[in-house]
Amino acid sequence: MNHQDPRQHHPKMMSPFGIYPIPFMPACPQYANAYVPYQYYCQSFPLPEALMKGTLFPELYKPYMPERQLGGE
Amino acid sequence: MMMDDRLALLRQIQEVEFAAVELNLYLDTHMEDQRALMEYNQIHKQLMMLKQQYEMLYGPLTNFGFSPSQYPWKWIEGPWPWEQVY
Amino acid sequence: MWIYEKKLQYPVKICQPDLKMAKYLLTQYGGPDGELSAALRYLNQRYTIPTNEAKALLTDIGTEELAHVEIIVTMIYQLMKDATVEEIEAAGLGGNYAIRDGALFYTDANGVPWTATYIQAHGDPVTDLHEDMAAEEKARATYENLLKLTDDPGLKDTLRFLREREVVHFQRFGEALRIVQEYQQAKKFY
Repeated sequence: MNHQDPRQHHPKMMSPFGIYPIPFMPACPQYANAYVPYQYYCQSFPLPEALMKGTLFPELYKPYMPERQLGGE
Repeated sequence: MMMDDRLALLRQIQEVEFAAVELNLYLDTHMEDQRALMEYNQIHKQLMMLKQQYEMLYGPLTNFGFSPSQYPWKWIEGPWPWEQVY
Repeated sequence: MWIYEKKLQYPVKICQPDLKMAKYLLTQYGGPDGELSAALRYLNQRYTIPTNEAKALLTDIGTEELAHVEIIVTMIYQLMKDATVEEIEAAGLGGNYAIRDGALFYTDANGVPWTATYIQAHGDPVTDLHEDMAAEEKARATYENLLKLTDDPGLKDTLRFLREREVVHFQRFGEALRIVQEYQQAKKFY
């Protein structure tokens, strides 16, 4: 397997590594912008479970709970 | 039963390929994550092995030269994915 | 170039024929927030999105959506298998039968044909990624409506899988947006 840092292969590539790593949330949030938290992958479901759940990532698993109604109480 | 064996192997391919899809999409927005990349490459190896095993027993999963075919041309053989009854 | 794989991304297990449900599922085939709309939206936007991350993501999610089109069709196909004309008519699919027998067509659940006006492309990366995130949420909500319309455990299982994919895709488009925002912030862009 190739463990080399891909940066070394494309020193003149237009962009990438300049903006990485991207923080969980922006350091300086701006008004009138929408931000999604940037995922940091730590754990994964076992493969059979991942397929059944529809995601490999426990932090992204948000099953539908039909009983919970929004706007009530 | 032969059908059950085929579906069990297909299920395993679906599981491993799904992990590959998930890691692929993750890597699209996390090109610098070395651990995810390592896992992706591992999954790739596992997937290639499973697909080769499946294709030897039950015929090609892909066309256009990505899989070989036995005689006669196996690509047209059913059931097609939408016809498969579990 | 695309390569077809002769298998479903996720297995479809249908317990019994249900023509009404087949009709409802059509919305995810040729409806406004259906899988066809999703695939065509993303595969069209990728030509003008400026970042390589988003080009890859639109290509890959667009391709996965085509696999979801196939899953939806498989559910409809199997729910309608061996149906009689009387059953088709009783489920409100008589109009479809009159035109095309049992053949499928890209329409929503009410028979309204698919139209390109369901999707958008503006070329502005922030605008297009917001469109994509909204599309994922609309599809998620549609899957929740469909889940409420059936008791078939096999059908529910596949619908839950497809619903969760919308959640994951939303996250990825959100990250692609964060990347665009970071570029804009860094003034490396334009």
